[in-house]
Amino acid sequence: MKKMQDMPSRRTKESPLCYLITGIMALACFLPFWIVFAASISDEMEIVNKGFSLLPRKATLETYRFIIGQKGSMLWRAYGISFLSVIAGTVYSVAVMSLFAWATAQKKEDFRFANALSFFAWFTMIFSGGLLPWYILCTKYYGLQNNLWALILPYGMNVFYMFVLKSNFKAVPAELVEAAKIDGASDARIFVSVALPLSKVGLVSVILFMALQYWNDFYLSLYLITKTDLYTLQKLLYNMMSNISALLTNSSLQSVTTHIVLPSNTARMAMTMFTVLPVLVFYPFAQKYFVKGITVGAVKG
Amino acid sequence: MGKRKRMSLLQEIKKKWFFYLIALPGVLCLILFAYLPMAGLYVVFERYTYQGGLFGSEFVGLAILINEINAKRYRKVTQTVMLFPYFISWIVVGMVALALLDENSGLINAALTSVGASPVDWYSNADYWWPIMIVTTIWKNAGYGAIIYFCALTGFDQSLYEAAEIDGAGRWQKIRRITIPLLKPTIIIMFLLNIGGILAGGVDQIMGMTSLNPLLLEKTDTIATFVYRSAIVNGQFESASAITLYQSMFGFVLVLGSNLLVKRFDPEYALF
Repeated sequence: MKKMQDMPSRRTKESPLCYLITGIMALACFLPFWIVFAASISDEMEIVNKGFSLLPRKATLETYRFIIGQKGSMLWRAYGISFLSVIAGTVYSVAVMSLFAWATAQKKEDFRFANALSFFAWFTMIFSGGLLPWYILCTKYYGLQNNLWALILPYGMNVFYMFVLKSNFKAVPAELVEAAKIDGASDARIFVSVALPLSKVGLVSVILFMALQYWNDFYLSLYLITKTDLYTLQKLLYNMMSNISALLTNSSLQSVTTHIVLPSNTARMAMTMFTVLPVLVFYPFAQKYFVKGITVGAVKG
Repeated sequence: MGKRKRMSLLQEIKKKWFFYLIALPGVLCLILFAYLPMAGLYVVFERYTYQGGLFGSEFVGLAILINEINAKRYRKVTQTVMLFPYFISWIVVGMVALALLDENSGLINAALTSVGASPVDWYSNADYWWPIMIVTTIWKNAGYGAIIYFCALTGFDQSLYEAAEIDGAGRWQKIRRITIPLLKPTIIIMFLLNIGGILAGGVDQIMGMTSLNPLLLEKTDTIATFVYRSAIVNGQFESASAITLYQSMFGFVLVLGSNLLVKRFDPEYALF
């Protein structure tokens, strides 16, 4: 695969137009984030008067100081909830999916319901009961409201990633499994010592995808969380979008000085930076796995 | 092994307990969060127009473009940058859009006024929002789509291109006669996987970008946002459940229908 990537008709002349268009598109993907960053280190009054810009206006860290100083506890709490749901959620969902995937990856004579279970999972991809019954069941019957479980449990089975794992497991050589069986390994042993180590790439990419899904998620907190204690970072940002002044003003400084400028524009942008930061940090390291994960999923097995 | 007489179910479970056990959590998840909600559908039916469905396979062009680039470094960097928006939540995209579109301080209005045009009130006129939704969707997903097709592209048999070259095919002809036909299965699978989500999709985008701004609802209300507003915010469950049923049935028919079409057109590529 690696070698082939360099090959496609490399002898023909390249047209500069291709470079130009992809360059522009890459720029279009980068610039908006840059503008947000520039705004977050700008002076609030300058933004109010002159608007957002490509270069920071009167660069200052005042907004970050304000958020960490005044709203620090809220921010760290939201970070904590977000990270907790990412870690617990990823462990839980990858466990559920990889176990299920190994069961469905069996040959029919080894596990009679392998295909039936595949279909059982696949069917939920094309037909869903919709948001409302899901919401009623979660809140009224499963008790998934305003607790941490609500941010974790509903994403146990992501069918798409389950199939990614399944196609990884399918690629485990049958001879190895056979050999382990002859050596007296139990089914559980084969799964842990043969299947899992041989599917590392697929596992890692699914782990990363799930971590990302939990990090970026605000469905669950939107529908199932109303207590501010349990706000994730995404939910906090969502509330800031529509209701920034309420979040900023209830701090103590209001009574002290009335003429102080609340950095509502720059605070939004700074909060956006806080939300993107973890993704930004782990993106370069994770990107190659993402690419592999995406590719495995797209190729029909 | 295949010839052996079939065991009774009980015997099999006893022998293969491990597989039954490990499948259980997944089965439970599917039942709790996917099948029970289906059973919860009410048989009330009410019409509600859907607005703003989105698509899936328009990134083929981008993948081909990337493939035409020889400089490895350049290709890698552009690809990496383009993929990044895919990993960002819609709320963050909403904030980015705010910096660009804000009526008073947004960058786009500033640019418009500086060339003498009058500023546009993006957040109070619903008419702008279909294009905005489409552009942001493309922006967010372009890198992802491009990678899928690009990876498919790089796996093609290169001798085909060499043969075409010897026969005197130009760049454009190679793309049209070799690349696109070979990409067909990937395009179709992506299309089929996406189509079921058409009706369900968009809540996070709409909420993240407009936070259900009532001024924009005229053009940004979808089934999912309507259900959210009427049932979860206002507690009116009846009409919302009717609409949910409509949504599910329609999505189902859509997938079955498109799969049928694909099957007729080329049975090899159908999902089922």
